[in-house]
Amino acid sequence: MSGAAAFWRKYGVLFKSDWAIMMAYRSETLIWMVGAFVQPLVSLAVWVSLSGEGSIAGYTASDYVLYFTAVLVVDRLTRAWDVYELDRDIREGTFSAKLLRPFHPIHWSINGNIVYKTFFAMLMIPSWLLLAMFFPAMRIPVDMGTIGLVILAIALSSAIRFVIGYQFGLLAFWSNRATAMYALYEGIHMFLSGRIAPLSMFPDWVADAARVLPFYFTVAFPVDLLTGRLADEPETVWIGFAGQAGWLLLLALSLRFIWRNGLKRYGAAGG
Amino acid sequence: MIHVEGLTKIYRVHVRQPGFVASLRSLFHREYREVAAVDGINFDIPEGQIVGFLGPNGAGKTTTMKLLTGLLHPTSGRIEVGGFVPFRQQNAFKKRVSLVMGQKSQLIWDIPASETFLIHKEIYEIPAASFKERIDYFTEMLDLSLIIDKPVRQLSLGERMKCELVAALLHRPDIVFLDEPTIGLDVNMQEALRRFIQSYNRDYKATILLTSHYMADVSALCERVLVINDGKLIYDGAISKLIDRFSPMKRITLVLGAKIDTSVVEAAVRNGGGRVVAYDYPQLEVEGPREEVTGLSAKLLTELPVIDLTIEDPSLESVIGLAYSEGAAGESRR
Repeated sequence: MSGAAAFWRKYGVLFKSDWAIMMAYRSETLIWMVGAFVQPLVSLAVWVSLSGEGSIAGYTASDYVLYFTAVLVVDRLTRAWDVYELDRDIREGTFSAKLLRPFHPIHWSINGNIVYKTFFAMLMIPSWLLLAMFFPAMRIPVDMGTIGLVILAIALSSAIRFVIGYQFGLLAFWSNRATAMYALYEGIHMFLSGRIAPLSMFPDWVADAARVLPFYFTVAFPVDLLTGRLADEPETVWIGFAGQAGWLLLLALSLRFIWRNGLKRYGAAGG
Repeated sequence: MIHVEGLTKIYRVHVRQPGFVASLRSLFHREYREVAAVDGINFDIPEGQIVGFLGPNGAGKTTTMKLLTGLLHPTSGRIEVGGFVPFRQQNAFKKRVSLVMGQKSQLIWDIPASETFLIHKEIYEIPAASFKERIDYFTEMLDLSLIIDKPVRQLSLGERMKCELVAALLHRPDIVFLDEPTIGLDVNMQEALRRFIQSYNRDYKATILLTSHYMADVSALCERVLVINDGKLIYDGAISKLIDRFSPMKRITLVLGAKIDTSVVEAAVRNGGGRVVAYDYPQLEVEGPREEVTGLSAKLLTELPVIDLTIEDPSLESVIGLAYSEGAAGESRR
């Protein structure tokens, strides 16, 4: 068996087992998924009622419906939760079992993300298409080529958010406050990624900072692509992908650094 | 196969004082203390040997095991296991070793153990034919057919432990670390696991380092033991010598069928060469020299109305405690 084939077979078998576990807990998974809808829906309600008949920051009520539907889907498909599991595994020593196997522990986490995100996509995308039949505001004003770019942007964002979350989780090698630090990061992310309102609502310097840091690239960029906001700005699209790729590369390098140094500090707690 | 030289692991421990005020103070000023969990130990284990690794709780056994499997970085000293330096975490090394921890599971909780085995098949790149052959071997040896397809969370501790062993040995490691593999198991299950470990060692020439608090495990499996206390190796040699030297007495516990006068009981015990440890009717506890214990029990059975009699070795903990308190460190270290 060639190296690559063996590698993909490992992913294959992990996918099957994670899928089986998720199905064993399908109602929890659903509640978890729906729970994440609350914040974008509340934001949506607020902005729709504030905008009334006019528009705020270039968005009408109908634009807000489309914007937050896109936020809800993009956020759900790109958000990583590995920090909690990793933090617990490292502090309680259950990380050892993964570390002893000849397959890097990060693959277990990547696989988990693929499994849950596949499941979410299978539920959310058909639901969106169905709702769009009844609510014109939810119809996506872009062509298939752009949809392809959106899928790429979501995949890159998912990778960026995963690598960030995984590094926060690895902080558990040094500190028992990894999840608290991550919560702080997530709080900033909520504002600067466009989850709570479009970035055009913020002062210019805040929006500019969000576009330099990884925040804009994780949610607002795929959302802008999907809602047709970038239809006449091919340059912004390329800058967006370049920003995603650049941040992913940088974060992958720092992940490598944190991993190597963290491992030396691992205490493998518990007998 | 295993070579350890001057191995030391020092943990830096944050000292926490109890109480709210102290916890506030520690926000600003943290105190640390250095603890040597493993303190300059040396040993070699040749291929195919089963070695018992003994010591009281917190002596450094598990830390040593974790160092030997590469989970921990040593503070100083050298380790070589099967020609590898464990903490480099090479996949070729991981495919040759295994660590079983009685208190930690590597099985996936929500799905049957057979699914974890399938994951290991791919991760360790075990060819399909060998995988089937090994599963058949384990199923027969450990009587797994009824438990392998139940979700792990529905298994009893003993059933789970059998599956843990399979998961750990499926890739046929030639170096195996067993940390309390029989903890919490009933006597029959302990016996079954012991037989299994023995045949694995015999069939595959596996080198095994085993920790256990059960004397029976160690005496059945290991000819050689390492005793560690406070991070230091205090004994390395044959188990028979360890027990003879540090625990010459055996304990007999009897239940009497009728109330007998204390003086009569004491006389009978003394005649047999023993000593009364405690007598609280109906329970009688007697201690006697190892070599005279058979004669002593026979005598007690004829002279007293005995309903029940058990003979026990002193617990391993107490042997080790004795070994340590008698200053064995100097004379037994190689």
